[in-house]
Amino acid sequence: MRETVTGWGLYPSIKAIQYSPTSSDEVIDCIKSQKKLISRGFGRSYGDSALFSTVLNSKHRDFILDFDTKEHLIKVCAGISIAELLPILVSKGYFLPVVPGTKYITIGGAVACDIHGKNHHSEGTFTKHVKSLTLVDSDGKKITCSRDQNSQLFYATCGGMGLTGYIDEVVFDLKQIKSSKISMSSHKAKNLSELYDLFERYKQSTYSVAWIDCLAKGKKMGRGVFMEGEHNKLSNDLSYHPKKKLIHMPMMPTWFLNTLFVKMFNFFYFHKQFPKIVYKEIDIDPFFFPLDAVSRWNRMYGKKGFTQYQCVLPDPSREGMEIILKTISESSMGSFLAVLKRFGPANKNFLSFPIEGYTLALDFKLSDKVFALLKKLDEITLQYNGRVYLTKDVRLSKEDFEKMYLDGLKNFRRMRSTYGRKFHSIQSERLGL
Amino acid sequence: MEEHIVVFGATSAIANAYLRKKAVEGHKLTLVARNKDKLDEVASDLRSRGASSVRAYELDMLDTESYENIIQSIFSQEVNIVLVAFGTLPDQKRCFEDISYAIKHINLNALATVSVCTLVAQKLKNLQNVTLAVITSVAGDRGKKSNYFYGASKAFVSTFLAGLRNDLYDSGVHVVDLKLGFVDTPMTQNFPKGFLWTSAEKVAHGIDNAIRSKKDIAYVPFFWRWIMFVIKMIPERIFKRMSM
Repeated sequence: MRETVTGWGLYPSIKAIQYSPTSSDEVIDCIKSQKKLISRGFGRSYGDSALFSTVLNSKHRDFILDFDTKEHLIKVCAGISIAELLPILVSKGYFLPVVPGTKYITIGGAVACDIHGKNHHSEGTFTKHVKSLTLVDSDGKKITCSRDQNSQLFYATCGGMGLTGYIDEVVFDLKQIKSSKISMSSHKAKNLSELYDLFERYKQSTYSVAWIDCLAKGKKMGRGVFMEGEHNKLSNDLSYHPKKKLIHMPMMPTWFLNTLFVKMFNFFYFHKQFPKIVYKEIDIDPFFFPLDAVSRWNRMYGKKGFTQYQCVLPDPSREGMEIILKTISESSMGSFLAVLKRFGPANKNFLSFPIEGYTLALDFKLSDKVFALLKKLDEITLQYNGRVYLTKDVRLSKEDFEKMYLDGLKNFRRMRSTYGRKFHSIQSERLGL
Repeated sequence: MEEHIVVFGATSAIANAYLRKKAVEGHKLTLVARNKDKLDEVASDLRSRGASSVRAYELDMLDTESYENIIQSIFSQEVNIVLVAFGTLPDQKRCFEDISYAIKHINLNALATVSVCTLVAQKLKNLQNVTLAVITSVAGDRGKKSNYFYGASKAFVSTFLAGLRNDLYDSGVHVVDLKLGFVDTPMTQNFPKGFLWTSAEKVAHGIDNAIRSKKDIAYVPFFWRWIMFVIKMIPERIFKRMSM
C-alpha cells in the first residue's frame, strides 16, 4: 500500500511503500527483497533525506536492549525516540549526552544526522558519545562498527544520512545528572556583536544558544536573546513530568505567516523580557524542546510547506554572518525561528555538519523567491568556507554540496559503494551522495 | 502493590505496549511467545524500563503438548493477572480458497486460545483475586464478508469466555473479554488507516483500565460498543446485501 510521506517541512510530498519490521530478521528480509530503499525514523528531518519510493521505517524496532547503570551505558534499537527514553533515564539520574531541539527523533536518526545540541561547543555531536553501532548493509549482513572495529564504516555511518545501511542497534554513553532542573540565564543583546560577546563570555557554560530577530536591520541587525544553562547540581529532584501536548496546530492557510506577523512576533519576543538579564530554574522540556509544546507546528506554514536553512561558517565568522543576516533581513523573507549557536571543533565523521565556528538556522516558507535567496546564501556560505546541514536541506545543488563537503566525500562514497548500494533517498540522488 | 502478570503472545504490539506500562510501574512479568529473538529483546526492554523481574518462555502456541509444562512452571509462583494476547489476522480470500491455511489460523485463534484459557483457568480457580483477560475482536460480534474466518474464531473465544466467567464466578476469578477495534500494529500494517484506528499505546491503556475496573466485556476503545450495537441491529435480510 502506497501512502503519502513527507519530511518535517511538508515538501516534497511523495507516495511510498513503507515497511516497519519488528525484528532484525525482518529488517534483513526487507533489505534483501528490495532494490532501493531508505531508512526512516520519526521523519523530523526537514527535507528529502528520509524520502524514497520504498521506506524502511524503524518505528517497531524500539527496544532498550541493555541499560547499564554501572558503566553508564545504554544499548537500544535505533527506532526508540528521545521522548520515550527521557522518563526512563531521568528518573534514574541520567540524561542523553546530546539532544536536538525536539525530543521526537529516533536514536537512529540522531546517528544518521550526527545531531548537535545546545552543548556542541562543550560536548560535541551525538555520535561523539556513541560507543558502537550495528548496521544491516545492502547484502542484509549485520555489521558492528566502532572507532576500533570497522572504523571507516563507523565514520561514514555517523552523519551518513542513513546511506551506508540500516542502523539497527546503538550503544552510547549516558550523562549523569543530579536534578531534572536546568539553571539558566537569558540575556538581551542589542545586535550581533553583543551576541558574539555573550557566546565568548559564556563559553564555559554547558548549554548555550541564541534566538535572533532576523528581520531587524541597520544598527539593530542581529539583535536577539542569548540563553545559557547547566543541569542543576544542588537539588536532588529527579521528577520529570512532561506536559501532555495541549495545543495542536491546524493546517494554516499559506498567507498566515506573513512579514507583518513575523515582525510583530519578533518585536514581542524581544521585548517580552524587560530586564537585560534574567535567571531561572526550568524543566528539561521548556529548556531543550520549547517547540514540542505545540504538536505538528510545521503546519503553521501551510500546505505548501517550508524549509530550514542551516549553515555554519568557520572562525572567524563575524563578517560572513553579518553579510548573511543582511541578505536575509533585506529580503524580508525570514521567519521567526532563527537560531544562532557556537560550534566546537569538528569530528572525524566523513559527512558531519558541525565545524568550529558559528551556525545560523532559520525557517523559510517555500516560494520561488525563497529558492533564489537560499542559492544566494549558499554562495556566501561557500565564500566563507562554510557548509549547510543536510538534515534540513531540500534544495542544495550537487556542485555546491561537493564544494562544502569535499574533505570527507571521497571516503564516504567508498564506504557507501561497499555497504550502502541499496540505500537511496531523494536527497542522495539529488546530491549524488 | 507488586503484581505478577503473565502474558501469552507477549511480543505482539498490543501486549508489548501493555507490558511496558506495567514495567514502568515495577511489576513482576512473565512472558510467553514463539520467537526467541523477539522475546529476548522484549524481556531486556522491560527490565530496563523498571520491571521488578522478567521471565520469558519460548512457546509455539500451536504446540499444545508443551502447554502443560510451561503453565505448571509459571504457576509455581503466585499469579495475579493473565493476559492472552496471541493471534493472527488471516487473509480472508486465502482462507476461502485454501482450507488448510484457514484451519491453521482457526487452530491458533480459536482452539489454542481456548486451550490456554482452560489450563490457566484450572490454576486460577484455586487463587484469590485473580484476573484472566483475553484479547478478542469486535469482528466476533457479527460475521461479515471481509473477515468471517477471523471473526468466527474470535466469536468462538468470546462465547467460551462468557461460559468460563459464569463457571468461575463463585471461585472469584475475574474473566475479561477485551473486544478490540482497529489497532495500528504490524498485524494490520497493510490496511489503509482511517479515523477509527487507534494506537497500541492507547489500547494498552484501555486494557489496563478494563482489568483494574473488573469489566466483564470491554470494548477498546469504548466507542466500538456503540458501533457494534448498531451493526448488530441491522436485520440480516439487509445485512447480507451490504459490503463491510
